[in-house]
Amino acid sequence: MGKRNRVSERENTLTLAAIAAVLTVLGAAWPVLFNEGSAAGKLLVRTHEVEAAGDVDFEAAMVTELYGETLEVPASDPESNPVATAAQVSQLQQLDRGVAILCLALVAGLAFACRKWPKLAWLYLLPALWLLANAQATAMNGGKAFAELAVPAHATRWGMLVALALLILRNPQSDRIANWVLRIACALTFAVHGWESLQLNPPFQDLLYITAGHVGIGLSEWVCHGLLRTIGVMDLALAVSVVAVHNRRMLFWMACWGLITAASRPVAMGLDAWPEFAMRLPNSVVPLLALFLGLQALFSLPSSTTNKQSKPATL
Amino acid sequence: MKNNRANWIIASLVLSVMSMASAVAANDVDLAKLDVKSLVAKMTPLKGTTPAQWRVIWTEDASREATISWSTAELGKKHVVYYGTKSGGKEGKPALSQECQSNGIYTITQPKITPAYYHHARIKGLKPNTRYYFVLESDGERSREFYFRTAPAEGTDFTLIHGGDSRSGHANRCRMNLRIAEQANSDSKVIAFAHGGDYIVTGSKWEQWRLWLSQHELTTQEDGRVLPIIPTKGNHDGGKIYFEVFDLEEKTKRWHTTMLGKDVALVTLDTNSPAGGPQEEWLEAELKRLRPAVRWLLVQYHRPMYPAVKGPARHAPIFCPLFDKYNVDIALESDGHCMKRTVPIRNGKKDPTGIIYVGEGGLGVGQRKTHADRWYLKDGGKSGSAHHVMRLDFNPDELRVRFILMDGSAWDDHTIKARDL
Repeated sequence: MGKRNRVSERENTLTLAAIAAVLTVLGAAWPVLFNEGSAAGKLLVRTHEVEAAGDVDFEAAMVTELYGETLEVPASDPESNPVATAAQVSQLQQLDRGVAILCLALVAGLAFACRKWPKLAWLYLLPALWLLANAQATAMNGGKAFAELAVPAHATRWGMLVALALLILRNPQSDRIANWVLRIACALTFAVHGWESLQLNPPFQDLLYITAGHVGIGLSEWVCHGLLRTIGVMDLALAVSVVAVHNRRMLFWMACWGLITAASRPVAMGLDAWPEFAMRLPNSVVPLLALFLGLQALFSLPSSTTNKQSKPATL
Repeated sequence: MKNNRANWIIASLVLSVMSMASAVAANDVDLAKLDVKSLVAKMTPLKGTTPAQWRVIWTEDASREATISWSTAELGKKHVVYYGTKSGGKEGKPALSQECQSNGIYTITQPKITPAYYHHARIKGLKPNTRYYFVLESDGERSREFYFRTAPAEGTDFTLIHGGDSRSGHANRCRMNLRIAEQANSDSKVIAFAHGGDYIVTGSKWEQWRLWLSQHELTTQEDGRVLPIIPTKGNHDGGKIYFEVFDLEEKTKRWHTTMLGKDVALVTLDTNSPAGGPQEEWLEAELKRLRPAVRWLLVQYHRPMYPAVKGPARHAPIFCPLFDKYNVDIALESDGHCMKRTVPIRNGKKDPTGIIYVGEGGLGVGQRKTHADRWYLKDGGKSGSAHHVMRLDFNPDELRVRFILMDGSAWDDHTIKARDL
């Protein structure tokens, strides 16, 4: 009976994670389909436009004449036809959309297909790679505070898909690896967000100001800053704890906190901001997965604070 | 005799037409094929203490104050601007002088980049609507003579040019700078250029800023006229260099109001800072103070509230209700890399008494395709994709807004009536 409960719990957990994966990829794909494109798409388009405009040679010539420096530039074509450039940019944008749709179709299809063919779970690595590539492109594009930390900041998103692929294989070895993928992803995301909170990241300030405004509270600057610094310290402590110890209450709190912060986006910005909520669901689901997995972290604590099972949960 | 007179009249007419044609050709800009060498010949190399990368900056009282800034490749010891209402002539210099109050090194984080130094001379006590000649001097090395015109003390008979997102695309950026110069050259009513932000790609990289600054010299006209710039900070302008370029205090001058005389106010906001807290408090107090006092109340900032490409700025829930409450006349936006003019909007809905939002940045960056089916861009709104600047022609009763494309044609021509307040 206990074993049947554990199997059922695992199935429910994996179903939850699969649904979260669909929503996460949908949230990430939404701006690609309806706004300005993915970060990777924007990077490719910008690089292409600069090359097509012959800007590299143009820039190098100016730098030499004006500042007496020599820029090492690769051989490039002269400025191409604007109409041809626009057509090529359009193709890149279509490719961007195509990849987003493919990833969405994959995660949606795998949610069902993996029940029958678990080995297909490896295909979760493709949308994981897409999310990771977009995080890297965000870092390279710049243009927002802490953009350079995008890869670790988004670790729960791509980490969740990697862990899901491992968990679906249903063997102790892959479960142990998934446990560490989940914990490290949690640690990275919470650590970066904690750091950003301590640095008073302006978007975080606005989440507090706007949310407080919705309930008629005029938040003063020092209260806002105090709250953020407190949250920052908490997030950093959680980031360290999740890899150090297995504590069910702590993981449950991380799951709750992840959900609260994800939900803060549509609360502050309106229901149109639901993709921002969807993309951040892994901040809640990843600690939840580690909780249900019930495996040890770096250090064991006395039995009152850890999962009572000493063996890995063969869910 | 009659034949001679007729021939003379015909010849005069032909000559007049020919000279008009050549005047048009001289005023227009051949932007099709840019020659780097001839462009660079219009710019000043950054060498020694030769003053280069000059700009006139307006942030507060444009009728009576200006900051004249430039760069040098070496620090030097003495940096002075000579200015006055009378030209110093070819070899001389204007009568008044101001030593730079602020000199320093631009923040450089990349290795192997040659350093450069900024110099800011803050000048007060100017006369409104007056031409001021100025010569820059660093350690005895002088620039040529330039001039700018202060804003009028009152009245609304002038034109402002606005654009954003120079960012990437050097050739197109140079083209648009030449177009700005042509606009100012063809109409003496143009008094200033407001930049909506995103001058470069990475704000912490001096090697990108220096090219922007050098290319900005192309907005100077042949006769030495310099258009004052009213800066906004974009999301790609992070780091210290933005503040060093425009002589702004990082902590206290992220948002400001520029008075173009007593009848026109341009409120510049910072969409990189939180919307709530100090900026919200300042904005409400400022709009409350300005609305009853001015004829035209404009706001400019980088991230759009009603975007044509991206999602809305997180500032919208705080800024837009204040714009509505204090009946702002028009909002100037950038960041989207496209063109748009919304329908008049109030309380998030189409409303004939509402505010028109225009933008969104075409000074060089590659243009994006808009989502023309957004409710605020159709049935009276408009959107498109092309490099452009906006011309805002003020008069007491109307504000005419035109999008001027790279080839000089107008994409949109819209008139806003002054509010009956």
